[in-house]
Amino acid sequence: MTLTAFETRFFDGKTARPHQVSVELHASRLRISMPGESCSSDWLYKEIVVLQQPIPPQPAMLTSRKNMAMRLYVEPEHWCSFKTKLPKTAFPAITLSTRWRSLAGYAGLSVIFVLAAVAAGPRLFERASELIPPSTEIQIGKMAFDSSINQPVCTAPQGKAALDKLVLMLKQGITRDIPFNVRVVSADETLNALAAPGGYLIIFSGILKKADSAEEVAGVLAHEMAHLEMNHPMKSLMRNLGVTLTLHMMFGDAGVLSNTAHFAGVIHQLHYSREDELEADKIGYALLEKANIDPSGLTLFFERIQQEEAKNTGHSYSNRSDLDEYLSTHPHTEYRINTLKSNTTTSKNYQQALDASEWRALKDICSEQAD
Amino acid sequence: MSTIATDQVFMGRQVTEEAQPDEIRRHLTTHRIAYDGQTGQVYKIWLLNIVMNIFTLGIYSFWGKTRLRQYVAGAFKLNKDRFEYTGTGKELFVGFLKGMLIFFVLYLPFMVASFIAPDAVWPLVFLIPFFYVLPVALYSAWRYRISRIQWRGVRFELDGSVMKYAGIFLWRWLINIISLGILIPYSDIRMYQYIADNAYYGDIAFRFEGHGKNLMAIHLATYSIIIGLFIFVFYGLQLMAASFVTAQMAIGQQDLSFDEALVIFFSNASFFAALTCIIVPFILLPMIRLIYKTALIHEITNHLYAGEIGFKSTITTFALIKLKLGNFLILILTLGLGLPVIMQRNLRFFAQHTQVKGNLETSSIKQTASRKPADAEGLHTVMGLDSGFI
Repeated sequence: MTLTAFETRFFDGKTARPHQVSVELHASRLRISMPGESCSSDWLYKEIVVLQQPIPPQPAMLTSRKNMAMRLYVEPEHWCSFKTKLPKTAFPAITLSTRWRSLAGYAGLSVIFVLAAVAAGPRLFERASELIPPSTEIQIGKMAFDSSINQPVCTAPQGKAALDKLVLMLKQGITRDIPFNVRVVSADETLNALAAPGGYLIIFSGILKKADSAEEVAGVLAHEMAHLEMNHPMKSLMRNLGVTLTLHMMFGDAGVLSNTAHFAGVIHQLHYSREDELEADKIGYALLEKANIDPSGLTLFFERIQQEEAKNTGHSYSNRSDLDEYLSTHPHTEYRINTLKSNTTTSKNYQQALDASEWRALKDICSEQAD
Repeated sequence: MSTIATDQVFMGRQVTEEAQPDEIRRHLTTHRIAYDGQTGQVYKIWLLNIVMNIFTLGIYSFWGKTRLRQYVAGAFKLNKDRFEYTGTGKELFVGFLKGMLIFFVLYLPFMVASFIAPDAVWPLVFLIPFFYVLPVALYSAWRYRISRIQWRGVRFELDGSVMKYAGIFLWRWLINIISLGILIPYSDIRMYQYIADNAYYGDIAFRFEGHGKNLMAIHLATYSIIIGLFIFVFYGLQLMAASFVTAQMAIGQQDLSFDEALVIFFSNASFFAALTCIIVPFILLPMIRLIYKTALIHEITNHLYAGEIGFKSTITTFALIKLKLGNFLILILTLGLGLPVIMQRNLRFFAQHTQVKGNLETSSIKQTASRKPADAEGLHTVMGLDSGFI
């Protein structure tokens, strides 16, 4: 049975007066007439705009291009036969379906999209680091150093001279044009060193305290300088920024999904920085070779860390958190030692990195400090 | 007012309606607001938004938000007729871009200044405009949302100046601090007054006749209970510190292991007393605040008029506590996936507890030309003030 007439609500858009009207459907138009009134109004189907399709119990809402302030409602039960009369132009261009099947389809596609972004995104953001001019990079490094290092900087002149000597030796293998800014920070409990953008290189005095020879310190230095040679700090900064931003944009409003996505993002970044670490080990090794310093210093130092790790397990709680922190961002030490050992082939005649007095001076660099 | 003759134009024809006098007098006719939004439908729109935001890196959110608002507005019914939301995703998107631009322009001087003088204090001067950003963002969001709602084909509208509202907002904020919170009711009412005084439905102006003094008694009562609870908490903290010391001494004297010391610590009666002192106030405090909140909602609803039409709120403190507590539990237990349920609960609650009084059938309210093209709520979004996703 085809629909020919129905009763509904109509608003003229000029006043808030409700009109209970009857609508008659004709071949190319509908006629709206008010009961008890002689007047009526015709709407050509091609003039009709569907503002909202019915979502039961909500009716469909129509207007006419003649006056877009008018509103005519069509109840869901009349809609099916009514909408066949309307031309395509009556419907808004895009309405995404909210049927469960469509939602599942969109969700599947979005999973693929997320996987693609996770696979390609970090590399893409890394490339952005090439666009940053060196002057900006130095500014960023300075800001990072100023805001994250609160401990005093060690400044004993002889110690500083010894440190500079090591850096100068290792610099021979560096191809990137960056000024190195090496600082020892007074923190005897911290077993770490780090490289920041703009040639900033920070050694915590815990390293100097633990090290048994200048070769071990040189090994750590070479590793961090290798990070800078490969521009790892800037790359990782851009990567983190890019990944965080993308995830935030993707999952910004989605509550629990948002948290999960950020967690996944962090794990992903960790994996990446492990790759970077291994690369830095390899290039650090080459820097040491070029400077004619015994590269086994780095291996020895890692072995010492590993012993510390074994000693601390289950027993004392001191230093535990520092070590954990170091280990979580650095590849598993045993794996690392093996990798390095396999690189150490023949024992050459290496020169001594620092003589005895220079080494003592370096160990003693924190006897003078500046804030 | 015995008879009202209204001239109404219906499709180019003059129609004269003689209203029924007895019907006009029945001002106290109470109309309920109905809400028939389906949770399943809300969930579907919500899920669509999440998925599409992934694809479009969040740009869809403006269209998604609009779609949800359209659905929710359409689910509200007053006297047979549904409400309508006429905003568009494009408006929200453009508004967001504008908001970003404003934010950046305001932030730039501070950025430059702190770059020139990193350790100086004077660059902080450039942050002063940011005090204005919050109230301006709030008011322009209100203005946009209200002006995009219509009922029976006639628009609601919020006029007024954002800067004036910001002025009132900051002034009252200062007074709240100086008066140690005692004058909060006056501030709440004053800010609401500005919104109500500038609101319209078609050519009918809203009118607000409430007063801060009506809330003073309940405010001072709840305020003193809260102060009392704080003293209680302070005392509890002291007890707690004492029980820590006792436990520590026990460890020192008897050379106990850490686990054994914990047992002593937990079996200490004063520790439980302290625990009560901490926990009870932190459950009680928000609930006591809801007593005032209920009174505030009654005051601002029951004294609001649009022409001859009045409003009434039937909210009770108990119902409000039930709502909020339920929402909190749903949010926690579903890890945020229950957000649409929370939204539905809030909307149903509002509909259930808000009544419209007066004659709605013979309204002669006329549509007016839009007073001011309201900017979208960009700054509001940039500031992250959007609660939930509506």
